Amino acid sequence: MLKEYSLSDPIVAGIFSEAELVLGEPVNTLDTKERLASTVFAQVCLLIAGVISAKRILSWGITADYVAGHSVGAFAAGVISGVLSFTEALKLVWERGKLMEQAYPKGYGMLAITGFQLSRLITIIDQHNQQYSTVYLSNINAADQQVIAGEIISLKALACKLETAGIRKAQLLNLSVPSHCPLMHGVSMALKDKIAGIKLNEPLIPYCANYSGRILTTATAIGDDLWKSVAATVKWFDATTLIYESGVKTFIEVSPSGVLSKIATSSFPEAKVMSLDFQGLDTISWLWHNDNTAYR
Amino acid sequence: MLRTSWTTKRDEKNRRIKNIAHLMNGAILKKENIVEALENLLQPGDRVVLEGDNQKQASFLSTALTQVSAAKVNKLHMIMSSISRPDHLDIFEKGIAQKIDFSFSGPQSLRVAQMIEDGKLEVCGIHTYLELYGRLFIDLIPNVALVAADKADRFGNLYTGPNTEETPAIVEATAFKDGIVIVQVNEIVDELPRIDIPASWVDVIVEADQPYQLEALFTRDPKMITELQILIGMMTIRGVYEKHKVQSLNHGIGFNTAAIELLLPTYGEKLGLKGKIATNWVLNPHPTLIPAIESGWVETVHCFGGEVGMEAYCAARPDIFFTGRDGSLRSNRAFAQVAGQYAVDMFVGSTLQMDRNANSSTVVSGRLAGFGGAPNMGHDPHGRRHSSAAWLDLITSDDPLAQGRKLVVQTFETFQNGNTPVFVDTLDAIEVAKQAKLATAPIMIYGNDVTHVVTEEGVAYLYKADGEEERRQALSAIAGVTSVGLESTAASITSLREKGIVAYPEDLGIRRTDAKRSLLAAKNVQDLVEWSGGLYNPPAKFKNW
Repeated sequence: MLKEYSLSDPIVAGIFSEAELVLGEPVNTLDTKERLASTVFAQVCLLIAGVISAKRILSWGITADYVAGHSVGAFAAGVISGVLSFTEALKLVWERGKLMEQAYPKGYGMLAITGFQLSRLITIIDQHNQQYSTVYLSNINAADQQVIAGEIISLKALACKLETAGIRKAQLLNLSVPSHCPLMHGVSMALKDKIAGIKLNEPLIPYCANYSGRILTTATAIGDDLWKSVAATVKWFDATTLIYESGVKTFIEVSPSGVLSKIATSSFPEAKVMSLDFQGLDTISWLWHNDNTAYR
Repeated sequence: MLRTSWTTKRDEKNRRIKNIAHLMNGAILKKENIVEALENLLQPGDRVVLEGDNQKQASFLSTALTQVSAAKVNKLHMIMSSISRPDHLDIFEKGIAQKIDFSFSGPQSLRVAQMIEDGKLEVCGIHTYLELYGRLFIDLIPNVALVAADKADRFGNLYTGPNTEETPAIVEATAFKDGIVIVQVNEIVDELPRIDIPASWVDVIVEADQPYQLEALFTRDPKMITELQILIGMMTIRGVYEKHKVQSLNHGIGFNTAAIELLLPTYGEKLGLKGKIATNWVLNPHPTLIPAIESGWVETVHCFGGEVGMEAYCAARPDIFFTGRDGSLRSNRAFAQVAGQYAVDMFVGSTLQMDRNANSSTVVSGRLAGFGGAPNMGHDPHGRRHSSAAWLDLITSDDPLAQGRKLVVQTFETFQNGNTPVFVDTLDAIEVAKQAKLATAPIMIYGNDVTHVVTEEGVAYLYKADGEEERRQALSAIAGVTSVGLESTAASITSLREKGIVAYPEDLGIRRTDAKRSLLAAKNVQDLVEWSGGLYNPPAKFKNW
């Protein structure tokens, strides 16, 4: 994830050296296969890649009307909107990852599903929870794409039930932490304390909340989203729909790309959706600067 | 106490107009002075109609309204048939407006729901178009109207052209009750093609920096029509149009109705139905209706609004469309809605959700989309007194006082996007109503108004069913493998088919395998252009050849 970055790019060099100062080891040792299996390193690498690639996009004269980060991506969004520094974000994410990993070391996970509208899914989850250990709606990513968190045994039973009901896809993710649900309450409270100790700046770019699916324009509200969202459903579908309704015509996904641009393409067929890793900065910049009406 | 003046509203209007005298040149205001003018013409708490339906938007004026000082202009009560543009809600975010009465909010449906929940938007009522226009003359009389026209002359006469839509209704309610009428125009010219609204109804004309926003909302690319939709179309033509001899009608904007429009000149022709069905329409100029018009199926079409690219075609077919002396289309949303409510025999629409009792709604989780005009057309108006063959054909009793009935037809596939059932146990509208604290659940068409439902499984003649239980069984018989459909039994289906309450394709003489795309009179937008003899000029996004 991080190996492709060239230190000759001053943005990369700056972020890498800040990261090394915080972590006490070189960045190129972070994204080994073994380490990425741990949520701590995975989250740290996502933050570094997100911040570097967003800064690179903006350095090419592309302007963002909104920033939106999914799950840990919210911290990168907070950095880009100027609410907190990269160093502060990195410390928080490191802490967040460690606390999440410690909270439920075994037997928990996440189930990604595609094919059911939310209201239909909620009915099924409510029935399921009467019989099995409680599972939680952890992400609402699109009208028909959600993620459920909870105990793996219970998630497996739910997957069976959904398959009988005709779900298109129900897949256990390779994640050991039940994120974005009340099981993370302790993590959320610990983050709240940490964030209370940081002096946040007012955002330069409006920020899309995970927790409420609203557009946030104050430092206090964004700080609250950063701690609340770890224990609450990520309302990605609402947040992205809201900015689309607010006039956004173009979505650009930062690195590592793939998932979010697919979701945006399916949710907003009329929008232009680009991703840094697929199109590359040259193409994105050319389209942005030369096809004004379509992309702005 | 005796009142001392009977002209308070007129005096107030004169006072406000005097305040902008220094900005005016006759009826003309320079665009760079619009914000200052609005700050003088609007007073806190005013009722303001902002024109914007689902196609045409007074976009220059709505943007200008977001720029006025909230310290000077605030607590406005907005009246808008459609909340379509981001700036329509920015007016509320900025504290300039507080209350709203509206009809439709599809393009802003999540933001509307969130802003209600957050207390930023106070919804007084959600209406159908006709209700809203009606209230402009009763208890929502506007202080100020902000509307859009194509052209004005220097006296202030207006040409609203093919997209006349709701401008006359709004201006009438404002101008004749001492309200202030402010109009953005695309250009000011010496001579108008025709006068749609006279200068004496207008107070301020401003030439906008760019033409008003106009969307091609009624264009359906035939390329996207599926064979399932063609099957539904064939069943609807045979089992509804032909069976009841339906001559006057309105179509919704879905692909199901587009399929029907394109099947008339082919499948309908083969059945020998030309001239017998679907002759008189209230409908926007759907490009997919071109083949039926060109092959002599259609006698007349009255339009709610225009459609981008159809201007030259409509102008060249004055026998079919309503046109002015200048030749261009004249639309009128208020009259078309009245026609759709009272003067047509049938409404054919679609929905996103339908419950066991045939109640339907396009509101889905967390989104508040409103209604638009469908409920006006999608109900049986009990005030109707004139009769027609189709209307009388729906009488099911021997009662000498029995009334006929409008056909209200819902057509859809049992699953949309492959996996989302349209038939549901509970409409999402109920939950949305709770979240947004609405007095009633936002139902698009009530089940007791629906006479027919057509899916890929068959036709349910709900109007024939005896009692609620039989209605539910009929619906269940065509609901496929949805939870509603799985309740039906073989025995009840047989009985319903024998009674003619349910018809499957074979009962209508249709083989499922006959539903082929080759039946469509036009298979893509290019075919439509050819049918029109080059008169139809589709917008760029549909020019895919």
